Amino acid sequence: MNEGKVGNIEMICLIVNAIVCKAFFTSVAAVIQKVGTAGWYMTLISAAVSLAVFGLMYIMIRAYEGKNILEIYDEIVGKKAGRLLTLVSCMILFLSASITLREFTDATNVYLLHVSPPGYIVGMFIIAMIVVCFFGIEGLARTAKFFSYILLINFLIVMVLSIQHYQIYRLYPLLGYGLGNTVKNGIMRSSAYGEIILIGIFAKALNNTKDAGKIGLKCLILGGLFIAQILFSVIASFPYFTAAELADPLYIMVSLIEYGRFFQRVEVIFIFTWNLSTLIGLTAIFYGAVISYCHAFDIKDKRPIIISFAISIYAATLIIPSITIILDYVVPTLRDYGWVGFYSPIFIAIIIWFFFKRGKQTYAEKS
Amino acid sequence: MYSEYHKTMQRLKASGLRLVETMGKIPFLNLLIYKESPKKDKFELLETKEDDSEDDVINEHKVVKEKYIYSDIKANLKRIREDFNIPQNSDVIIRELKICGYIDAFLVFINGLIDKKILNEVVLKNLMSGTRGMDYEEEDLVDAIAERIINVGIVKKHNLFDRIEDFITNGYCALFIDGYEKCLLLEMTAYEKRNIEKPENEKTIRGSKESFVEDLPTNISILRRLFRNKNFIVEYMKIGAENNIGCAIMYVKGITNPEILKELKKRINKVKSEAILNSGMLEQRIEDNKWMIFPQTLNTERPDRAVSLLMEGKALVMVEGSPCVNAVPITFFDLYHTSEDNNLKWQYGSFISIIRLLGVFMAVFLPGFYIALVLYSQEMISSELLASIAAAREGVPFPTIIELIIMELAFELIREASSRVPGSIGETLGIVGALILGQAAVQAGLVSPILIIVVAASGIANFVIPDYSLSLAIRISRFFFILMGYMAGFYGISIGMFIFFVIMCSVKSLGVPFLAPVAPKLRTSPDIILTKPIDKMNYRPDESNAVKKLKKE
Amino acid sequence: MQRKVSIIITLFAVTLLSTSCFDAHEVDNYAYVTTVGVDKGVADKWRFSFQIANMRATGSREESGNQKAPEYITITIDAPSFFHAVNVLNTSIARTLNFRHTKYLVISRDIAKEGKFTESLGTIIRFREIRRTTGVVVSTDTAEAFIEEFNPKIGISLARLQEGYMEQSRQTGFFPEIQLKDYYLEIKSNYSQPIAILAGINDFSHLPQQGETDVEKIELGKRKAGEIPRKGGNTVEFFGTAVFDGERMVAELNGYETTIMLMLRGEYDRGIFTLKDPLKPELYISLNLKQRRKPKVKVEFVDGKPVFHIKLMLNGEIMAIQSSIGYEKTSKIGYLESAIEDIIKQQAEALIEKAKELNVDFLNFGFHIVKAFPTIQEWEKYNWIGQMETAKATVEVDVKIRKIGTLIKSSQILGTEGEQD
Repeated sequence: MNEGKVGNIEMICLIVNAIVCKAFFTSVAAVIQKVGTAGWYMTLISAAVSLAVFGLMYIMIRAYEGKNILEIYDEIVGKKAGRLLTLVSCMILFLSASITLREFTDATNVYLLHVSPPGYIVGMFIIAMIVVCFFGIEGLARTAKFFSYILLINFLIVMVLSIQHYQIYRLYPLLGYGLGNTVKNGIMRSSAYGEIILIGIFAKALNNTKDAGKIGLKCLILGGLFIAQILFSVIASFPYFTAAELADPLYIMVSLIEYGRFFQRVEVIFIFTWNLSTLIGLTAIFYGAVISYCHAFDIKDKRPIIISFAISIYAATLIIPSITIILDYVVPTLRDYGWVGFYSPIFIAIIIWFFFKRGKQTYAEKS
Repeated sequence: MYSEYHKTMQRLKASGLRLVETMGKIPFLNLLIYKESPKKDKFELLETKEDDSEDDVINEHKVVKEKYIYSDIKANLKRIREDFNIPQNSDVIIRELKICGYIDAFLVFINGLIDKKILNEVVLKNLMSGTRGMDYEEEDLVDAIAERIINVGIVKKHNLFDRIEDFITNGYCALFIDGYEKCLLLEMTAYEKRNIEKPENEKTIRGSKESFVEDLPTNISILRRLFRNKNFIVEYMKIGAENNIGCAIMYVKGITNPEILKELKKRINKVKSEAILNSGMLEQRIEDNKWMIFPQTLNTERPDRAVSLLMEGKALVMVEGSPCVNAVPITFFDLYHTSEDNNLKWQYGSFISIIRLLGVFMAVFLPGFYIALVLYSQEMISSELLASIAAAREGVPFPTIIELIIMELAFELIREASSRVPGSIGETLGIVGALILGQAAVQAGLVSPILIIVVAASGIANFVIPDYSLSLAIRISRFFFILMGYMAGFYGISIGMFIFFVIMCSVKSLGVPFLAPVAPKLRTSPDIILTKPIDKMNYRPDESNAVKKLKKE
Repeated sequence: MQRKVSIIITLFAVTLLSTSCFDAHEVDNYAYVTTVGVDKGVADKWRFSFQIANMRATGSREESGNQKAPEYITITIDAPSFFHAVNVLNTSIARTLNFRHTKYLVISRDIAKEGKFTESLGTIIRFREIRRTTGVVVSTDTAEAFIEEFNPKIGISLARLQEGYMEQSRQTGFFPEIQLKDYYLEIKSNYSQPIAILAGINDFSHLPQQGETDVEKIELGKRKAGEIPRKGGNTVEFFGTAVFDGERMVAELNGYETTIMLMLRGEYDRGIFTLKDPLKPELYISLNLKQRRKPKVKVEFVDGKPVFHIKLMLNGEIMAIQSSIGYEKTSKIGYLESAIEDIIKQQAEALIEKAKELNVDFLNFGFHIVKAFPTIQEWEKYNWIGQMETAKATVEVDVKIRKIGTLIKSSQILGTEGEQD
């Protein structure tokens, strides 16, 4: 696969965007509904769980130097079973991309483009995705890095400006619905960081696959901090019962910023953060899905697959007619049980590797 | 049974293939058919090992090679050929002659730097005919020649290769004589200064006021005058199948990455055009990707700029008959800088650099933002401003997008017209056209005054971009963003930005990413946007993979 | 590469041709509503009033030949629901009503007292065009009359006038700055109860004629919106606070009480505080008071009942001393400070007493008591909203006079008739 090379910082920017972009939509409200005022540290628990799983993946990447995680699956469980694991990863990435895209579409439809049919919004998004995927991961990662600085500044500006609405009392009661509930939800919601498996998939684009460990650690720390910050600011700006009501708490929070008569109505800064971050993140997830698919069926040329995948995503995004179904069933299911799809291939592979292959490998290395 | 099935399958397969074939012939449908993409030998510039050690090329013969000249003229000749990279370096001339009728000697000089009249009528004549009958057994023939034969103002004697070579690159003519460990240096410097005029397109306040002319040797002599270093190498190549004009590739040995030179020469050799008349034509044939709207070579008419590019490790291509050079490989930031930036104190340089960045952003995004704001996001305009916009819009019969496109086109028309109108009418036309047309359009109620402000501001912002090609690229992309803003407001613009920057990140100029050293991040001197004090600029830009990355201190 | 580019171009062309810009609207397609009001209806359940800005008149600065059009239009309609009314109105004004620049929601006092805000206008919060920074006003008169009067009599633009009112909350402290988000949050809140701005129309009848003698003297700050004795200027007044229990308005606070309430809530910015001279009670002293820090509140539970210890910290600047007594002297400044502290303490205790009587926490005590509960379940079980009457509070006031204006000493006024101290 000729994908070009991606620098470490570029990879971090890419993955962090893929992780954080979900937090701009309904997930925030869903988290607050479940754990109340404890949401902002619950997500750190999720990040820690993901870090543990990522650690397992990194052990395998280190053992097989110069290979990406999909090739490692093939090595460990054989080509046929490996194909199955690869397809599970592909499937979950595909679902994650399409559901997040649907959330994005609905949010855009509510706040920005009220009359446009969802197909129009999704269509433009998909076209951008296709064009960018044609240029390959190198261009995408560089763009991700280029934008990340701007996005970071925008994000910080927004967060700093909305301090005027923070009320410390809203963080109380500190434990939310109880510590047990928080921890349970924190572990369940570790799928929020499931995109970390993209590092394994893109591993060969790195200059050295051994850097994956450092990168993953940084990604999870940064992603965790960003999401925690988003949740913190939303909880501090709205009481828990109101925040759980809002379709897009973060957007509402930004629209409240008001400093004097002229400096208000600054959502536009946020719209760019929101759109660009989602564009970068979802394109990365999409590209990961395409790579997994191509790997599973040994397809050398990705370009025809990109277009057909994009069309499938378009269909999958729009197939559910109503937003209420999405919010009540689809999104909660993905967020609560997504970890099965994201992490189970890693669990299976590491168990088999640990009990059957590890000994042989060390033996082979010695001799 | 089986064979029948087999046959049917084959027939089906054949008809399927035929269908695909016919589809392939129809221009639109052939996009839908899968074809194996042809393997292209894409040029990638790979990392080179850093080599900042002391025994570099410039100083290498201090250690390895002999310092003093030999008495054997053949050894001297060989050494000079080696040092000046003759015959690669084709403007260094070695003229062999015989003194006193039979003593071997040769003259070394750089074509274009010395006065040919003195050389031909005085020096050569005297050396060849005036020495006849001299007593070669005399104590020191060199002294004798200097004293009696050569009637040139300044004559110096040296026996160090380094010194001699320095003098040669400075426009001296060196005379080596067989059997003597001394060399005579004759001052015959005569720079071409014919009609060197002020640069027209790249104006600076404090920079030098000379520009290239159409004559290639003159241009090279200008560069030689500004960059006196024997590692500055000029290679001639012939291009153009019919007009057979010369083209010079210039670089600094030991700084410019040899891979780049190899690729550049390969590309120039590949040019099989009927006629290359201009550097622009060559530029289009050697760029990496012809579909990208961004320029991939840098075009300058300023010699000082050319020298600074040389020192950053870039190669220059100059075509006979073009008053400019093209530099490769370049990045966006090379196009973005002017020769003024390093000429000014770093505070001033940073300031104008920030202003220019603002200009670039305004030129690209302002009209697009305006259309998105006014058509889609009225809630983001403060109430009073909205009232002003609405009041100005009342009575305008066109929708905002038509209004905007009309005004943008009118502005482009004025701009193009004023650059084609002969002489000084051009500027007047620009002012008159813009002022009177705008004023009349507003009074006639055809466009709103706020829109005129937007168009004019983005137009003016465009003028701060120093590079003409880049400013054209930005003028075109402005229309792209207007379209995106019109289609879906800020959502459309962010999608446009995403595509725009991915394309920008994918552009390469001889294997160097267009947005380096920002994306990808590379080590460079601190002069991307904000500059730092000049003594902090120790590094050559990393992206061109210069052989030596650390500048001399 | 040619293929790549042609694919890109084709895809774009397809989208462009097959769709159009759905959401693009010219600025002049909309009628921008600046204020929405609701009263009880006659022909139907509610009576909605809309104030629409006339953009043409507002925006044009230059004098054109034709006569000046009014800056606003007020439209009133009886309808069963808000969006019903909007939809019907669109048919008559030939432009779409747009609420993106709405600055105030006005409820008449009747509706507020019945607790019908959500029913009539509150549902509007779901509507994306309404910004949550819209002000919430309870009008002592009908909302219809209020909106008709709610426009500048002094030569500033309508938008600037309406935004200017809100800023005065921070300058005077006589009414709270309540936006839709605050009001809405507090309706649903289990931390505290909502308040709203109290406003009214002043028909200038409260200013007695010269020579009238049988006028009841009420202190200026104890009056309510619409009753201030003045003449000229804008007829609309923002003065005082409407206090709600849930959605039902249960009390009105006058200007002074509002000031104290804002101090206790920690939202007081600055304002002029006038008090009787402690040494010459017939004369007055004016001070510019600022809240130095948010009040410190400590909560403890005594026999399961909360006790609040509140400490207010204020900074003062002497503006005027009518009696010319040298209070700015170091020896006397403490005397003045303690006099102010006493007054504020009294008023604060009275206000807390009032809150306890109403059993309504409009002083945001809930913000502090919540810190004593570790989980949401316990907090919701305790149900603070009904517990205000059980609370006890002690108030401590700390006033520091830091600035004394341009005079560092006031000399005596000399005259032939008697002498001053």
